Amino acid sequence: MKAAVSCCKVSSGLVSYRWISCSSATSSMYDARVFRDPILDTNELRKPLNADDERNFLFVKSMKSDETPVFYRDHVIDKLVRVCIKDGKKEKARKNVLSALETIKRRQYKAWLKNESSPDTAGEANKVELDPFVIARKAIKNCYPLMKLQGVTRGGTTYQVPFPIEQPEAEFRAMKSMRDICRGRAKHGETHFKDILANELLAAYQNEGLTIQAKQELHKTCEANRAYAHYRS
Amino acid sequence: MLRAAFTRSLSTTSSLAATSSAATSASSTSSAPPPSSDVGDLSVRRISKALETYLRNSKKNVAMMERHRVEFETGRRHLASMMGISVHELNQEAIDRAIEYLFPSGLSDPKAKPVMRPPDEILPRFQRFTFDDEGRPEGSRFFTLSPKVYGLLSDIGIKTNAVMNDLEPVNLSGSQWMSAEKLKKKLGERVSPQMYGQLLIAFDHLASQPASSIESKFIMEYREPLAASTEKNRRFATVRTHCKDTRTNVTVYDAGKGKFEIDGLALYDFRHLQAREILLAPLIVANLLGRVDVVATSECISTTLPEAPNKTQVERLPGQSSLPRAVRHGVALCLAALHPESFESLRLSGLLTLDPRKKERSKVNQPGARAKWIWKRR
Repeated sequence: MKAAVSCCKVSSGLVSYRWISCSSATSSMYDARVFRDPILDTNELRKPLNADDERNFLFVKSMKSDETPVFYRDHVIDKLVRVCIKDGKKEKARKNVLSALETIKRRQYKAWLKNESSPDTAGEANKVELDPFVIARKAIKNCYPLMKLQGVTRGGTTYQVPFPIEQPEAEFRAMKSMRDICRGRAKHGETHFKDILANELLAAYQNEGLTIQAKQELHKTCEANRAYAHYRS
Repeated sequence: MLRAAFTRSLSTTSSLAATSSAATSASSTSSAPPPSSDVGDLSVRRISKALETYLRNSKKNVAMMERHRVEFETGRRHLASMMGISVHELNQEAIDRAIEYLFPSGLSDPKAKPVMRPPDEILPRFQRFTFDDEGRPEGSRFFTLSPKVYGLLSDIGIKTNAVMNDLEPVNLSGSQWMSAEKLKKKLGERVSPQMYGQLLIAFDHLASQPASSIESKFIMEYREPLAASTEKNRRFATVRTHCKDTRTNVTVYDAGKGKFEIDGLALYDFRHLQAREILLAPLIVANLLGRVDVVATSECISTTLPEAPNKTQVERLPGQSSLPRAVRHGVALCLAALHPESFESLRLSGLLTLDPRKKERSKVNQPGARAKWIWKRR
């Protein structure tokens, strides 16, 4: 914004005026001083706004395409879809993730039916979780790493230094490692991403599977590289 | 040859296998050689694998049932002579008694006891489907393999939906309460201003209930259309807006059924789930789902701009997500105009803000807007 203003001043001194875009490439189209994030929860929208909320007198950013307040909106699933995107094909990624959830639902329902009809569990409450969204949420939570490894160059050598991470990043890294594992195992035409994702989510829900192994491996490496922790700065 | 014969029999008896007699007729025609005119006919339609299997199984089942029926009849005659009574006296009760007498058993499970019943009663029923002239199964539920069950399930779903759809407030847009004069005439009694006020309060309370549409017929008896908004002449708002390269003219009609018409396309012609979500967003936020009609047309801004004289105009179409977004902005603006009470929630959810983001121009000496070529020493 600042750059653009100074540019105007320079160009207005010229004889033939011509707009040259020299605004900073990283600036947002929304001016951070007058735009605030929208409210996306329908229940919150129905309530009156707090008197001290800045949105009473400032502009609100446009609602994003994937943030429509539909009743099935789920933060974890949406983020998983965004992580699984390849070549910008969001609809494809969404289809993959949702069909993985469908597979999970079918399998859990089968297990539930079996549990229901078997004589040795008669009378007990059926403990099989049927909601695939709950399963996916818990599976991703089980895959959260506690730390991350980041390269730090000191004296020409790069050290893998363990760093602490915040919850959103841990969530992202859990999803990313799961996506990489599924993608590596999906062979075109033979095994499909959605099936492997369903397997992996169900395994991670039970604290098993390759993603959990990868997390434990990462923790081990972090433990081994503990000596480099003082390079953090 | 066989296939052609099957297809012919199918086309002649349009509902093959609706009864077993139809199936037998099909099997009988299949054994007969087809007419010579059919052999050279290039338009002989192939029948599908599933139908072929079905026909084979159907034929097998008919033959099997016939055999069992004959066996049962023979067995009945033998039994009659064994028991020393005439065949005509041997009804099902007599058969049961005879079997119990001839095969005494100490087993208690009814499945373990011998039975003798007509094959139609005890053998599993063969499910018969109907087919159209082309040899395709009639009704798409054929592919669920249990069409009756799923049909019933679907009916229940439709009924449930109907019941649940009734659980919404009555649609009062486009009409107003009857004036005191008219009410007086309708009731044939004196209506004082106080009485009229009381009636309006009571009516408003009824109409504000969440399931008031159940009584919509009663409510509508005491309402009259607004002066300029009869069924043909509804309240509407028009807006022209854009998103990226897509420009749209959006008209929202009040008191509608929730119909969408975007360049002639309905809501469900948009295959992307996200596009449908975007289109419904303002209606969800304003709580007007299924209560307004949306009509929109779109064009590309860049095609309306003059092109360099030596260049031909590029064919452009509205974007897959920018078209819904442009329509969304237009619908939100129209709803804010038609229903001012929804203005604040529409504004706070960011639907009234014009999305200012555009495609960034690509830079000289770079492959894209931000991307750079890979640096090479030489």
